Amino acid sequence: MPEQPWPQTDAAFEPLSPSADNHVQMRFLSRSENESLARVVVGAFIAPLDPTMEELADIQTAVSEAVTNAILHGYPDQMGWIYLQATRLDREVSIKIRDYGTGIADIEAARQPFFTTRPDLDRSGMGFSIMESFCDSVEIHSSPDMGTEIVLHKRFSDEPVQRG
Amino acid sequence: MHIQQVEEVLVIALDGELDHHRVELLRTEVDRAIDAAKTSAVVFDLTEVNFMDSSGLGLILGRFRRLSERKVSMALAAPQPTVGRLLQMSGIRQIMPVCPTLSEAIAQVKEVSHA
Repeated sequence: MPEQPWPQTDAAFEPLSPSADNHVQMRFLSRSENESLARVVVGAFIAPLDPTMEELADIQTAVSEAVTNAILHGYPDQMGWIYLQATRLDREVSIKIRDYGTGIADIEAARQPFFTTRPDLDRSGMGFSIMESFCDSVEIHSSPDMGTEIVLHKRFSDEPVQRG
Repeated sequence: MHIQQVEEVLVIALDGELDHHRVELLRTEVDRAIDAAKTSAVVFDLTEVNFMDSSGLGLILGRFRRLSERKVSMALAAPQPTVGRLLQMSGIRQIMPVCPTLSEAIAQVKEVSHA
């Protein structure tokens, strides 16, 4: 058997909260082409809420940041699994993005605007600032070698709003 | 990506989704175009960019740094509303002009390069 380039062991999916109205879980490889896949899935997940263009762009941008972080910083030297879990309760949406890679040594430093461990890659260091600006709240759980879990929370405006 | 020279201004029209995946493919191409043109001013036309995240900002800031070292002026033109919002929150407008139309951006960089 040829050696597979990604881990064969798999983390269990988390149980569904009984109060959620809708729930999606997926995993994908830490390939950069999957950044757009994650955005499309989240866009489709929130479509029933009839979001404004601004709300849609906000959550897709935040998801893109979290997934890019997992790819670039979680698994810098190898391919790994990224888990995405989307949950909706009424008009509140939570998106969890989890990797089992490198982890973040100093979470408070990582949250600072323009902080980057990879200036060599033209990184702007704006990832966490964008997540925090475009969501209502952002949880970051991480420790070195244990991976990183980011949870984005966003409430979508009540319908029907004027969308001129 | 589409490149045209408008008098002394190099106009680089970007398109689609400027995420990490796309930026990795674009960066060398953009740098090659800038190096080949030997121009005094560059405008990035964002009309056809329908998504941008911090990787797109990184591409723009990285080019800005390179061009500043060579005293080449740079501006951004015609971002869509959601892209404009990202540019606004990033503070990028404080270091380079972001103009609503391509012609205004061209006029702006010509003015700076003639100053």
